[in-house]
Amino acid sequence: MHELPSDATVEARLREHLAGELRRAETDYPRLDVVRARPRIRSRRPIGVALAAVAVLLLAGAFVVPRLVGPGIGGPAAIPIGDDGLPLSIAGEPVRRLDVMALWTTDRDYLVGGTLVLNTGRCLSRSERAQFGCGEDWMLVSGPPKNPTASVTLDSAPAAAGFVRTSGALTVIRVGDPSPVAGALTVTSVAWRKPTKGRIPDNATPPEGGMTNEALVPDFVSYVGSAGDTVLGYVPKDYPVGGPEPLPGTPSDPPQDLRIPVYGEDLVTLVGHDVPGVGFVALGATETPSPREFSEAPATEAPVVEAPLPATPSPSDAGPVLDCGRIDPITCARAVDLARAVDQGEVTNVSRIIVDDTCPPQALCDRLYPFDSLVVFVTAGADTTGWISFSVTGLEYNAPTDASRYLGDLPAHVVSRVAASATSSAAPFVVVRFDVMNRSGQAVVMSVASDAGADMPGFLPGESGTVYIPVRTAASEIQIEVLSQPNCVPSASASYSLGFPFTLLIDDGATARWLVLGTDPGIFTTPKPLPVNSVHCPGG
Amino acid sequence: MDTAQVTKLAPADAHDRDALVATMDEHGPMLLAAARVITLDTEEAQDLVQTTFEIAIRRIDGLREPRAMRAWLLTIQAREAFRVVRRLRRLMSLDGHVTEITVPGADLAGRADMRAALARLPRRIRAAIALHYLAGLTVPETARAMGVSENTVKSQLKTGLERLREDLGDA
Repeated sequence: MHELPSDATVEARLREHLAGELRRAETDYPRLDVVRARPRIRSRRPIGVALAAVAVLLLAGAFVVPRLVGPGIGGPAAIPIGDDGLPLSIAGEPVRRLDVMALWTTDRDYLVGGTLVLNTGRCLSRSERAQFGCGEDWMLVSGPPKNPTASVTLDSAPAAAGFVRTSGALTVIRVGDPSPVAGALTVTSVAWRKPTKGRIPDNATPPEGGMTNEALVPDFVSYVGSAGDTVLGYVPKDYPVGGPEPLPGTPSDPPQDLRIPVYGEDLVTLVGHDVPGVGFVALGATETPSPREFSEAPATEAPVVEAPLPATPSPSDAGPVLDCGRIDPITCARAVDLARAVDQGEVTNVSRIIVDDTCPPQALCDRLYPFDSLVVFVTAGADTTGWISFSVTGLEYNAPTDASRYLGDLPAHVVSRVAASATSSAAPFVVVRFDVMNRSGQAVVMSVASDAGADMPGFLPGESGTVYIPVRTAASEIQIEVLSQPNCVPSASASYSLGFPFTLLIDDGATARWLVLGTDPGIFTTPKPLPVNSVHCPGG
Repeated sequence: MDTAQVTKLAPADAHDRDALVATMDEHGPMLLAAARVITLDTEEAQDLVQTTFEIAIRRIDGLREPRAMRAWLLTIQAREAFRVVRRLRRLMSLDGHVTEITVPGADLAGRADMRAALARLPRRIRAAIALHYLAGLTVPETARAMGVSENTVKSQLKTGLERLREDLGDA
């Protein structure tokens, strides 16, 4: 048996280690130029250059803030647009089409339009990126980007005035002198572009992990409501990808999060804001608390239920009642699972579980994590001393991943809920469990919905896992629809009552693409974490 | 290391933006060391320091107390370390690869143990440890930098030391 070092010894060793880290940083810092010179996915100035360059800019009384350009750079109102969505002319100068480029190959200084596309095939391996950085091949294509009718490589595109690193945008470029690169066009400026909008595509983040390629993220990213199925608007990609900058402040007046503007379909009209700790607030509306999330959650970040649970309560055996506050029920259930796993012995015999965001409602609050919650297990006595609390956090919105005992004072908005729950007879949710085994040869996404929540876990062939779903009414059923990959085609559906534990079996059907659902009484002895994979469908 | 150190900037220079910008560089090593402890990733740490400088430069007019620049920079860095851009890069940080540069006289084995133990801590506990024990911010300053209550910081530091104690005891 090992003898634990004393607190003083640990602190001394920690200080010694950190002092070593500081010495190492003092050695490394002046040498960072070598590393900074490497191409970066994000086009930032090296530190030293930034310091020098901005000093000049400050003297000039101005600084450059990277901005996403709005629709119709170059005056959309004055520009006639063709059937292909590209301008026919700009300020009287014709815009040529790429698929008839051969007519003008000897020309210079002209406008040509098409879809700007980043060729991402050049840098596939992580080691290659680490050693050399990744080059970028920008192309202009006509027709659908995945099946273009014509394409040409662009030379010097990132250095061109008005260039925006977003793949997929309809763009008009000005072509300069002939390029030294055979078959390429030299771009001198971007004369017009139409911003893109939509979800962050799966390929924006490498499957093996790593930096998100911001060039593949649309200019404006879909922003969805708490139910996850309605696009409320679009936020400039600087927010979900680059993050808003803090406002000025001092240590005694620290910076606060900015509200994130949400724009309408035209990407110009402001329709509301995403308010930290509150969610979407329509323009002119009062800030009322509601769960929030961006539509985008990288597929590689699928939440995992790690904790073994005691026998999951079915509606008939009346387990602890779950009060999720502003957290959506599915996320809430996962947060509770994580908290339980921290100290299984302490969280038995509880009557209620209170979960809520750490930020008070209707207040701006700078959370350290996108998901930052408190989970409070209330004992049968249910007074404000009979509880044990946990901090549950996650690096994704609505995706808790870490839990630890919370030893600080509970914030007032949670204390009031704990106290209120002691006298309330309402039973907001009960979490039920069932297990899933995908015995088919297809990757599937299972859409499961109850009267209180929904979830869409993905299963590769042979994978299995435990699903938790909250229900409000014991007599209710859960609806299950199974979508097969790769196109999320509905392949089976069924409804199940919740009166008994069961394992859902997914098997191949008699016809390709069709699946058969069945049940097996009983559940896994130990709950099994949902598989982590990239299988998902829109909304999941 | 109980209080934030005051920069060399004289009050008379408070409005000299050039001097302020130049002064930032003095804090680079501290920011880099703290960023490495928080992120466990060399590239992400450098990116974080660079981002911190870029934000600070843009916002330098908002620095109302230039003598507190170091704490101000650490505040920006701590906030930035947990922003969305960081979470999208977390798969890199999970690798935890840090370039080793030998420091004369250093106890490499001990450092490796401590580094591994630190790596097992939640990121925000590492942030609290970096700000308090490495950068020398007081608990109230650390709390302000991280945007949490003092009790939370105390709890995080206590939990962090407890876990380190257990980990190092098992090593």
